[in-house]
Amino acid sequence: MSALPAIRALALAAALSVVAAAAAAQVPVASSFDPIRAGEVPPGYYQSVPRGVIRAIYEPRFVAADKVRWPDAALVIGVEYQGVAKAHPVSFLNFREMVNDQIGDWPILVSW
Amino acid sequence: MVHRREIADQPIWFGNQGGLWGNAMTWFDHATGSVWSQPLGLAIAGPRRGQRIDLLPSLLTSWRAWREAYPHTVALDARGGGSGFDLRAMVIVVELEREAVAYPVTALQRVGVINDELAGVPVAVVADPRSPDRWNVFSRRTGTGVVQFAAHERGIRDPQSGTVWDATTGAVVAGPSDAQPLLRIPALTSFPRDFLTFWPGGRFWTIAN
Repeated sequence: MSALPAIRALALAAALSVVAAAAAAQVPVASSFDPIRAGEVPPGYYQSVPRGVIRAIYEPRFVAADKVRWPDAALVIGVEYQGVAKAHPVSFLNFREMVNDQIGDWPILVSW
Repeated sequence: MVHRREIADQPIWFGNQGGLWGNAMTWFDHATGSVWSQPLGLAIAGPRRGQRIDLLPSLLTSWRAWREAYPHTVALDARGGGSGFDLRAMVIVVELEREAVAYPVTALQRVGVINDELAGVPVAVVADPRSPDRWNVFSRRTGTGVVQFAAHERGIRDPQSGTVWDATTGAVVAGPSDAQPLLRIPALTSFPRDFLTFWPGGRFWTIAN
């Protein structure tokens, strides 16, 4: 009788670890190929800082609106699709510049 | 702006290319390394050159206005995402009396403490234990002479006197009652290429030093 909760807990843990592994495995490792370094440089292109130094966000987390304490006047980039609405604060995007996100069933890139 | 990061039903993962084209942001995609122009959503170099992704409708507005329009909205948790800037590509620059030395962040992270001297001033570049990619620079000259610091669990230590200083503040943590706090020396971070632009005669510190 007492084995059942333990088995359920194990099954749940196994399921969660599979989901976590799948989620973690979703972001492919960045290719080491850089066409700019290979000499394919579009006219007018300027390499300001090395690739990847400004780290994009790959697994953003969102919280309910009442869980953040942003000023009313804070600028956000808002996206709404399939009944889901998401706000990305510009103050944070100024710093990270890019968020690989998803809304509904669409993968999206929010950039500033 | 917001783009749909998908080609042939496959999501594309983008990082920051760090370059400007038309004075605007560029990305690179993880799968092929191709470089993309943000305003056009267009790959401008690499295997995917010429491909485009769609711009999606989005709103740049105030948090208040957005919440009023979409009361059920969620908000990006800005506490996540780790450190935003990969400092491993950078050097810590100390300039004294026109002499400049660049200490690679990766080297500092490996050794924890760098004891060096420039313009006749003995300096220590110290990894900050409170922040994984932060650092502080102090003078190695104390009331009792010039110290060769060793890393210590509570900061940095003078093996001669046993004095320990806090690696963030330079305050004395342990030691004789007349031990003095360390003097902080100004420093900045830079990219190696830019260091040589500003200080063409500058030298790079290496672990062999």
